Amino acid sequence: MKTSSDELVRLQKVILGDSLKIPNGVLEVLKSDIKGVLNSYFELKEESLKPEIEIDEEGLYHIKISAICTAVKKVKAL
Amino acid sequence: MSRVIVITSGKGGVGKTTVSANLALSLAAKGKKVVAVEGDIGLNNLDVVLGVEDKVVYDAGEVAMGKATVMQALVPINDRLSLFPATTGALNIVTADIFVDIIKELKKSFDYVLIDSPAGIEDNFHRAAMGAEEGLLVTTPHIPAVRDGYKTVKVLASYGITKVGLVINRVRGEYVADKMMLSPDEVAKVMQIPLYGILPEDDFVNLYGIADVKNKRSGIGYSYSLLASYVDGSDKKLYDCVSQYGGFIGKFRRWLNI
Ligand SMILES: Nc1ncnc2c1ncn2[C@@H]1O[C@H](COP(=O)(O)OP(=O)(O)O)[C@@H](O)[C@H]1O
Ligand SMILES: [Mg+2]
Repeated sequence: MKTSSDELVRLQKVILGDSLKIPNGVLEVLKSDIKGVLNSYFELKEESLKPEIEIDEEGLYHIKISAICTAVKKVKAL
Repeated sequence: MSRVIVITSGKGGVGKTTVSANLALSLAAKGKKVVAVEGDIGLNNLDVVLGVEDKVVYDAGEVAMGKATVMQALVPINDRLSLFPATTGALNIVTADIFVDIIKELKKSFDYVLIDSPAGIEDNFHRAAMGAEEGLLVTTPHIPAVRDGYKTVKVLASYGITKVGLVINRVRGEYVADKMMLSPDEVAKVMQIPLYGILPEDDFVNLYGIADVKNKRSGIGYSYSLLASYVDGSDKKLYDCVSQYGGFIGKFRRWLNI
């Protein structure tokens, strides 16, 4: 059964999460790092790489990365 | 001195229009001159809740186009309460600047200008917030509503509206007593704004939009009267939604379902 004290904890967590902004710079650095990795496997479409970070009600971070590529690079295996 | 208060929320459907209409009626019953402004332009229903949807002659759009004056557009509800209706035409006619001018004009003739606004995250919120000096944040005691309400308090602050009171609507006293629902105090503490009013869940309001003030057994009329006193500063009492459900007598009453 749901109790108001559980509810209060959840509420405090979501509000904390909403106010816990990830610094702008971090997202940019992350983006260029991921781009570097993906670029060695795919021909990435310009500006298509989008990392998103969200915080859920349990206070956990969800990291989603989406990108569009025009071709797969031939990767030499050794 | 006249006061301009925007009534808003984080989420839609928590009771902004209901609170606007009933607070306006309660303040008027206390002798104040009040105008309720339909700031949720386009999605108008304050006129319906106040029962005057067929009495609107000129709307905000016609005032904006100079076809009618602000005073001509007012729809009287009773001796002390009037409605300023939304536009039924194109929304973009009533710009934020025009809306601010309308509010300035209304301020001259009323003690209270209450603006029923869209939720803080919606587009038309800008216009309503531009015209206001103070805010009332309406929420229900549920996490999603409180969460978005909290964000809306920040949005209000970005418009320079820092005097904001909290109104918690649709409180179920029996659930609060059983510790199944967040209590108004808990919500207020998290929101970090002063609690101005507690309004119980009420079937009559759900059906008719307006609180049945003659029904003494329903706490809703009294809770609105307390909210009006809190807003005008004459009394700082909060509605007690819990005590009637607590203790032995409360349990017995609940068992009998009265
Ligand atoms: N205290 C209450 N008890 C029961 N129903 C309520 C109460 N307050 C509001 N409601 C109902 O909730 C619904 C949404 O209210 P409304 O004022 O239109 O919300 P909003 O303007 O925030 O979208 C309406 O059907 C209204 O009658
Ligand atoms: Mg509404």
